[in-house]
Amino acid sequence: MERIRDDVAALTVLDLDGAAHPFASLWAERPAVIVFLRHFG
Amino acid sequence: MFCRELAVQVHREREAIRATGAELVFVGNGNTAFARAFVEDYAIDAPLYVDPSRRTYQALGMRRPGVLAFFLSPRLLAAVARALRGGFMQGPIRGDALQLGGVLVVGRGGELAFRHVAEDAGDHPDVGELVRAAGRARAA
Repeated sequence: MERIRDDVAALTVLDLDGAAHPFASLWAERPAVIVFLRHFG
Repeated sequence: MFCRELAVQVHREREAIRATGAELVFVGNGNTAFARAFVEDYAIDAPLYVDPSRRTYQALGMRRPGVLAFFLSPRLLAAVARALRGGFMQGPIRGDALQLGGVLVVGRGGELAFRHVAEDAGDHPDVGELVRAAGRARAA
């Protein structure tokens, strides 16, 4: 099965407090359904 | 309107997603203030992150078409009608108006159990398919 590339997994996303997390942390603890929103509107 | 339409539809199924052992996670491309407003407005009960740089979007192949291509898609026009019937009106846009979205279902080792990259703003995956993909995603 195709995997998320390591360089993509290492990208950073911010939580609501502005703290940075590795993208990979989103699926590290359990599988994740990740919805990429177009915009907040 | 589509952003909210998809977000609300998937959010409604969050318990079905969790029943598979997966979690629903949102990623937005605006700033954290917009994200907080979104969470409050829609009573979002799921983790939400932002990527203002949109680097994850770009890396995953989520397009950002030019203005003309964005509005000329015939499928988009059909989707506008669908969204209006569903009562979804466009609110003020907070984030990159042209950035398209998508959905991934990712196992704990980074395996892609499902990927949907939107071809235009009204192009949404089937929510039932997302839940089934969550069931396939590796939990070990």
